[in-house]
Amino acid sequence: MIKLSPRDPEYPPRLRRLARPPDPLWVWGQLPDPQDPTVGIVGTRRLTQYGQRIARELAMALARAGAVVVSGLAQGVDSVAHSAALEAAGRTIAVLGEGLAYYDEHGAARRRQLAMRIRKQGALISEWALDVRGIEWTYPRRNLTLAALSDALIVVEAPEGSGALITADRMRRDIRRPVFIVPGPLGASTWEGSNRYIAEGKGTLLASAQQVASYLGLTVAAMPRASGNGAGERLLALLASGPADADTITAGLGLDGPKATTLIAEQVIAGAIAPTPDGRFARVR
Amino acid sequence: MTTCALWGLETALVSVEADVSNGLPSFSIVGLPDTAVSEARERARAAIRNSGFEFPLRRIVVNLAPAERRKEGTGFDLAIGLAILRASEQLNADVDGLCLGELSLDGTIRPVRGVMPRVLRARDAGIERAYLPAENAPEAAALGCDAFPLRTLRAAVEHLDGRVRLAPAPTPPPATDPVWDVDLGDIAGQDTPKRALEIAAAGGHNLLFIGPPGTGKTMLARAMPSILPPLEPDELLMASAIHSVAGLTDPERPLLAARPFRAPHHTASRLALVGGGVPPRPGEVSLAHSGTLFLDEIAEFPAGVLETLREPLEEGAITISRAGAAATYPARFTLVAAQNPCPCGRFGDVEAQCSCLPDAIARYRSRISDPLLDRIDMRVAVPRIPYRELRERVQRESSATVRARVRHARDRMRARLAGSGRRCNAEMTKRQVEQHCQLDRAGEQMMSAAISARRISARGYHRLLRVSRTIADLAEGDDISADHLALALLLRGHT
Ligand SMILES: Nc1ncnc2c1ncn2[C@@H]1O[C@H](COP(=O)(O)OP(=O)(O)O)[C@@H](O)[C@H]1O
Ligand SMILES: [Mg+2]
Ligand SMILES: [Zn+2]
Repeated sequence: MIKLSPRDPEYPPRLRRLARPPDPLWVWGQLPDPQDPTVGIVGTRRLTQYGQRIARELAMALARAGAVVVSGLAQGVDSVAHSAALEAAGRTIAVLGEGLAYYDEHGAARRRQLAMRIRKQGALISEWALDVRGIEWTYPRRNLTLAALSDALIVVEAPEGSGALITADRMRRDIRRPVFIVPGPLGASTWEGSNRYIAEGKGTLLASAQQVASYLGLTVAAMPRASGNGAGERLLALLASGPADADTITAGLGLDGPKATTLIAEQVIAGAIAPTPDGRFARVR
Repeated sequence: MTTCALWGLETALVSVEADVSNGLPSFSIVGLPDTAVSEARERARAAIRNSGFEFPLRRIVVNLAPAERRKEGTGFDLAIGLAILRASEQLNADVDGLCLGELSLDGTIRPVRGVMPRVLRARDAGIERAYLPAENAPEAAALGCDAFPLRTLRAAVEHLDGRVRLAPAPTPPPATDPVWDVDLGDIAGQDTPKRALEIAAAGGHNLLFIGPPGTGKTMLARAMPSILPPLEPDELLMASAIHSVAGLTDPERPLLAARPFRAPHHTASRLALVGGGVPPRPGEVSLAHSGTLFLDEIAEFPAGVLETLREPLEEGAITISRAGAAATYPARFTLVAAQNPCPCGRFGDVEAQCSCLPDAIARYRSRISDPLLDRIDMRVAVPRIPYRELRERVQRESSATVRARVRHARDRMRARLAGSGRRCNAEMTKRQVEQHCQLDRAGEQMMSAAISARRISARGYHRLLRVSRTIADLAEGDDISADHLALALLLRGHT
């Protein structure tokens, strides 16, 4: 762990534009080259499986294209974004709302492994003294730092009152960089904040990873899709909005049982879909 | 006198002799564990007196041979009492059958557990007659034994001496087909879960249903007994004997009418689930032997209890050791389990939104440990089906039809595995899997694609082939085709 002040040459230059740059800034791991574009990806902790797939897809595509993925290491969207960036062999920065030592000691065991991997392919950073625990007022300030570090911000899934929308507000008002919002199904409470944000014209509706990449001056590789056969494509389309069980897939594709079964098995083997722990099938890409 | 010792399911014939000689009045029993002796002595003494006999005030030695055997105490009382009466010439006839029963202080004869395995042992030794507590007589009669039902020690003597002849208990009528709780035909939709249930019934594969509350998981599992093949004769005797040792024999129907279906509640103690105690009693895992163990809401069972299932799932038996003594009971069951997808139950429900945090869901799921999950061959979603479909009055396939397919498939397995001591595909050894699970060309291609894409783990491989074999057997196929393998892959739900 090292301690940086805004006067240090290694200090992230993006943070210097804040009225009050974090001082000191604690860093654990390696900060990526400040020349590389950065993208913040945030959203609810209570994410749906659709949100999970989109967060993962966006983080992978942008990390692979060369962007540094910035997020907050919470459960839900944050963890999915960090993990996907790592999986794509990209880099990622986790901005914490508590002290680094406090996190190391008390952070959720389930994310300790993830934090360790982030330190190898990026960094954990915090503006709080090492032993500060995260409380109500440390997070809003953390959100501002997260926004400041990001050249663009993506909100994947946010209910009303979500911290992700606070981050989006800071990005919009204080940092004055674009906010992209992934739209969600009407009537799903975890997307109500996101959809309202779009409706009020506060953020840009995100329709593809390339949209963000273009803003950052990057190009995302074309998404690999399942090979040509028509039923396979229809299966992926059916699963675009979330996982489904075998009977729902069979009925949705209008196939007979054995044909649907073979299709599902083939797509699992091809890695286009995967079984979920609750016995259904989800799109992998 | 001949009686029979019981430890677990192990039995041993024991001969009981009394010697009454002149000397200072004393009463000792040789060949019983110390703890049991004093109690047996008190019961014998009081029962003899209170039955209107005289307890000889001489030197009495009762010898139980062989002595070194571990024995349960109470079943020997009747033999001890009769031996003393015979030696003191208050009983004149020789006793030519198996004597079992506990004496109470007033001279009545009380029922004992585990009559069935003891009568079977006696039958093997050529003993075809038994003197038993009236409550236990049907158990012996069901095994074709001349079973004389006794209520009191006096009645036993009257009968043996020919003064009041008792009739042997009638052979209970053979079991008629039971009425099933749930018929598959009652269940709307759920084609894949039903298919999985049929495969589990035919091949003995373990199955986990996952879905929101009210989607029919419990109902599906409860339909399992209605499609299981009937017990084979030796399975029937073993399963009935285990119930007898547990004291769960139905006197109207001592032999089980169908494969057992045990559904212990998640609050059941570890003792109730896996067995134990001194003397050791079988638990639910053994009562489910040759049948189904249904664990509803499996995530609610204490983790320690679930871990104890690994031994029976792997070995088909469970060894209970307590206080230095061990007993082994058979425990080869098909595990059917049901679970909600998350703590609130709404994860993946099209009609509701889950309120659980990802960490809470992960914690909930990890209550079924990976090693246990590995032994579950099929992990199947049970989705909420539209109300309209629930109300539809259509002719659905009945349990009887499915059961006929299951029986047929089981016959194929039995013929294939004859002589190996294995009965169904889930029990195949790895060698038998290699030998009997031929894939056709397309199946072979699919398998090698799945392996090279790492969609099948080394451990999953044999389990997958066993399930595929059952699917092929249900379709009367000799080789396993790509369709069969595809369904097994789909149902497996993980690598
Ligand atoms: N597919 C179905 N067909 C007919 N009845 C159903 C079906 N699914 C649920 N039910 C009805 O709903 C009740 C609750 O089902 P149950 O098996 O207890 O659900 P779960 O165990 O999944 O919570 C059943 O008793 C049955 O009356
Ligand atoms: Mg239930
Ligand atoms: Zn939930």
